[in-house]
Amino acid sequence: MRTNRVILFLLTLLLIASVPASAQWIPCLGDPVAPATTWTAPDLPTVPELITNGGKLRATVVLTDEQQRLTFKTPPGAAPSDTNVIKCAPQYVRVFKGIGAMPPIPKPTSDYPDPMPGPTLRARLGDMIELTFLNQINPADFGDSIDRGDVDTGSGCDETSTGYPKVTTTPPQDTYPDCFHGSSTANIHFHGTHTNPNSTGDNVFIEIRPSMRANGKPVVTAASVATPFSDFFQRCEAKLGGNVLSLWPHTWSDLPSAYTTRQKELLQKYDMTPNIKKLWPVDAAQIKKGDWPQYYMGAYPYCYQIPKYTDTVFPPPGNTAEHTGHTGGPLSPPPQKPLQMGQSPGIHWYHAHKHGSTAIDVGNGMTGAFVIEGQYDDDFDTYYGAGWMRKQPVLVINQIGVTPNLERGASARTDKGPDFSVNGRTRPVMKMLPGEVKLWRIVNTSGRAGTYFVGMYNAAGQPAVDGSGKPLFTWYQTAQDGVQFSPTNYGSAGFTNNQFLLAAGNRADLLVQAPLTTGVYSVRVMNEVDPRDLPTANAVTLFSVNVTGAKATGKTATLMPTAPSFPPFLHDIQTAEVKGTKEITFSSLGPAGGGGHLINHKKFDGEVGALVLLNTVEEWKITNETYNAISHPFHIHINPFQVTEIFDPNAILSTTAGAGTVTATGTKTITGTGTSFSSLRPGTVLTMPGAGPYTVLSVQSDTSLTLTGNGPTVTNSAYSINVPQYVFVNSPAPLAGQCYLNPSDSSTWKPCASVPQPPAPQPPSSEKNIWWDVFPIPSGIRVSWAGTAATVPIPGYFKMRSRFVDYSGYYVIHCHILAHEDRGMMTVVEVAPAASPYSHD
Amino acid sequence: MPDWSIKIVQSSSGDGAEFIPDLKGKTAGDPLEAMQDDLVSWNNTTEEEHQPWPSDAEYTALPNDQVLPRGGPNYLSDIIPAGGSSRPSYNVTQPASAPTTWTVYYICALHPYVESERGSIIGNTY
Repeated sequence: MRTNRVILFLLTLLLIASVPASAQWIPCLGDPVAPATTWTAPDLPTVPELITNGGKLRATVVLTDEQQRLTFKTPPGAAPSDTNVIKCAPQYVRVFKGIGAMPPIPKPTSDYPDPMPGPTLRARLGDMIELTFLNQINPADFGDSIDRGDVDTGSGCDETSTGYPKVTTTPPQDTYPDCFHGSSTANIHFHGTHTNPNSTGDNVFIEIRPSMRANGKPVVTAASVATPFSDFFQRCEAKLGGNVLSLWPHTWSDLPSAYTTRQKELLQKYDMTPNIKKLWPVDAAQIKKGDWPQYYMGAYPYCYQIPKYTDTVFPPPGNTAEHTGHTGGPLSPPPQKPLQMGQSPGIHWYHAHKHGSTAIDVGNGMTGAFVIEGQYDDDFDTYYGAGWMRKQPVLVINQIGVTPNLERGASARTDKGPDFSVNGRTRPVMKMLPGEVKLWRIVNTSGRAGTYFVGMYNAAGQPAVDGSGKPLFTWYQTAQDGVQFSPTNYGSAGFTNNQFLLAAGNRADLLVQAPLTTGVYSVRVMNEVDPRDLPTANAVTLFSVNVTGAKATGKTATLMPTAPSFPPFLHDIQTAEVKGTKEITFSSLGPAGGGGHLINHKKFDGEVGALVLLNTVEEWKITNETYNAISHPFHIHINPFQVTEIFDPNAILSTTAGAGTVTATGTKTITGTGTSFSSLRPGTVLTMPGAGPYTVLSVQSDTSLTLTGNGPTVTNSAYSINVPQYVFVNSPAPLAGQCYLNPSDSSTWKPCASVPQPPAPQPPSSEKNIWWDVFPIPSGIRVSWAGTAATVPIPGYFKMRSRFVDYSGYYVIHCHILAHEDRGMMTVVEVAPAASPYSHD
Repeated sequence: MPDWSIKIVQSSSGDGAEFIPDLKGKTAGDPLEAMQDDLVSWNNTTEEEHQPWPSDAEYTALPNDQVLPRGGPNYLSDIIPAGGSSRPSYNVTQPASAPTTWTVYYICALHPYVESERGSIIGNTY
C-alpha cells in the first residue's frame, strides 16, 4: 500500500516535460547565446572610488541588494579549469555602493548589471575616516535569515530543505551562533587598518540590521541621518584630531541624541515582530554597563583616524611609559606612550564581518579595496610622474556566489568554490603597452580559496618565456598585505618573477613590466586551500593582459631601481622585544565531529580567547590540528605580524615523473607497469593527473604498493612521485635534504636545519622579514607508516611575532575561510591597558 | 549554484495572490526553471500570510505524510508572514527514479481554493 502511494506520489509530482534541461540561464557578458559554451573575455573595469578630500574621507557607503548577472561553472563539481562551461543567471546579491563614487559603474549591457566590488576607498595617512554606512537591503529578496537564534520556528540558523543546519544529528552539525544566520545584517571590517578596534572604529562586534521599510522603501536614508552624522563627524574630528591614540567615542551617549533616540525607536518597533528574540534589550543592558551596544537599524557612523607615524627612528623618542610605573592611583589611566607603529601605507580592503554571514555576504560581493596612501605612493609618483599611483590597477579578486555549499544538495556544490573573478568579471582583459610598467595592486577578497600565482602564459597556453627560458614579463613584488617591502627585499631574487600564494585575505603589489612582444597573455593561478592541492590543480586564467599599441617610453618603461623609503616602525621585531608567548590551536573536526571548526578546541562564544597587555610584543605559535588538506588562513585584526618559523609536515622536497604507468580501482592497491616501486619508501606521495595526493603505506614489489587510503580509479595513468621533506622512519637513512622526525617524540616535530625559514631578525634594526595579516597555517599529517602502534597526528604550525601596540580593546583572530569563521573558528583578543602598581625609577 | 526568488504579489484581479518568478519578463503562472539543488525562496509582498505547499499536477495539496517533516526534501516553506520571506529555503530535489526533468507543483496551503495561488518549479539535472 505504502509503495503504491509513493509511486502515485511520484507520478503526480513528475512531469516529463518537452522542454530542454535548463534553468533561467541568460547570456553572459560577451556571449550572445545562452547558455554560453564559448567565452569572449570582458574588459577589466575600473572600480569606482571614494577619495579623501582635505584630510578626511567623508563618504556614504550603501549596502543594498539587486539582481546581478552572476557566472557559474557547470557542472558545479567540475574542478577549476579554463575549459569549463560558464553559464550566467540573474541572482539577488547584497552589495556595497558608494554614493558619488567615480568613475561610474559601467552601464549594464543586459537586463541585469554585472558584479562590481564595493567602491575603492582611498585615503592618506593621518586622515579621518568618516563613513556613513546605510543598510538598505530588502531581506525579503532572500530566504528568511534571522539574527538572534530565534528558535520558535526552527533551529535558530538559516535553514534549507536539505536539512541544514542538522541540529538534531549526533553530534549536531551547526548550532547558533556558530552557523549561517542573519545574512542581511552587516557591518564593515577595515582589513589591514591599524586603528581603534572599538565603538566606531574597526569594530566587528556591531550588527546593523536592514532599515525597516515603508511603501517598499527604507525609512533610514542618507538624508535622515545626514544632520546627526555630520554633527558626530565634526565632534569626532575634534576629539581625535589632537590625539591619534584616542579611543573616542567611548559610550552610547557620545553619539548624537537624534541618532540614538531614533535607533531606540526603530529597534523597539522591530522587536514587536512576532516570534523573534528582541534586540533593544540587548543594547539597553550593554548601555547600562557602559559597553558599546551591539544592534543598530539601517545606519551607522564609522569614524576613526589612520595613524601616521612621524618619528624618524624606532622606537619613538619618549618611549619610556612602560618603565614609569603606575603613579597616579588605581583608577587613573596609565601613562600613554607615543604612537608605536603607525599605519602602513598600502593596499588594504574592507568587507562584511558579521558573525554568521561573512561567507555568504563576502561571496555576494560585499568587499572592496581600501588604498591608504603615504610616502610609498609619493616615491612612486616621484619616479613615474605625478598622479601615476592613482592610475594603477586595483584588482579585487573574489569568488562570487550565493548560498554556501553546505546548505544545498550535493549536485550543486562547487568544487573549490565559485570561479575567481577580478573586479566582478570572469577572466577579464587588462591592457598594457609593450614594455610598459604598471603596479598591480591585488587583493584576494575570496571567502575560501587562495590564488597561487603561477605566472604568465602565452596565447598557446605555454609559459610566456623567451628562447632562453627567461620570463617575457618581469615583476617585482613590492608589498605584502599592504605593507611595503624594505630596500633589502625590493627587487631581490626571492621577490622577482616569483610564484606566490595569496590566501583568502592576502594582498600583494606587483611592479610589472610588459614584454615588448605584443599579444594576449594570461595570468594564471591555481586554486589553493592547502599546498597539497597544487600537484593536481589546473593553472586557470585569473585575467589576461593584452599587450598592444606603441612601445612605452621614458621611465614608464623601466622598473623603478630603488625601493620607496621604508618607515622605521616596520623594522623587524627583535627577539629582545618579545615579552610573552602563546599557543593558539586551530582544528576542524570533520563530519564525524559534526564538522566543527574550533580555536583552542572550542567554537566562538564571544568570550576572550587571548589576553595581551597593551604595548607589548608577543610571539605566538599558531598550530593547525587539521589533518586533511586545509591550511586555515590565520588572520588577526588591527596589528600585522612577522612570521619567524614555519613547520609544514606535509612539505614536498622534490617532484619527479614516475617511470611506467599505474592502474588502480579505487582501493588501496596500486599496480604498476614498467614501474620501480621498490625505490619508494613509505610516506612518499603519489599524484596522477587530476587525482591525489596519495600516500604510500608500504611497498610490496616494483609493481605493487599499498596506499594509506583508497586511491583513484585509473588505468595505465602517468603519475608523479613527490618526495616528502619530512620522513618518520629512520631506516633507510633520509635522503639529502630530508629531515627525520621521530613520531614518538613530539619535541622533534619542528623544522630541521635544511628547511628554509624566514630570516632571523638581526639587531638593532634589520628589515629583511616581511609583514602579514593573513598567513595559512600548515595542515597536520597523520603518520601511519612509521611502525608506531597507532596513527600519530603531527600538527603543522607557524610562529609569529606582533606588536600589540597603540590601541587597546577587543578584536578577533579567525580563519579567513569565512564559512569556517561563521561556524565557530574565531575568538576574541583583548588588548588591555595596564601599568605596574610598582615603580622602580 | 543559483538561488531563486518567487514573488507572492496581490492578484491583478484583486482577489487573492499570485506567484511570479522574480525574473524580468515573468508573469503569474510561469514556472520557475531551476537546476537540481538550486535553492528557492518565496518573497511575500502581500498583506496576508501564505504557505507554499506541494500539490499534484491538478493542484490538489499533497497529504502531510508526503510533505512533512518540516525541512524534509518535499517541504517548501513554513507559513510566510506578510512582508516576509520563506523558511526554510527549498532545495530543488530530484525525486527518486525521476527523469532528468521534472515538475514540482505547488499551491498556497492557506488558500488552497484560490486558483491564482498556484505555481510550479521545473527541475533539471546537470
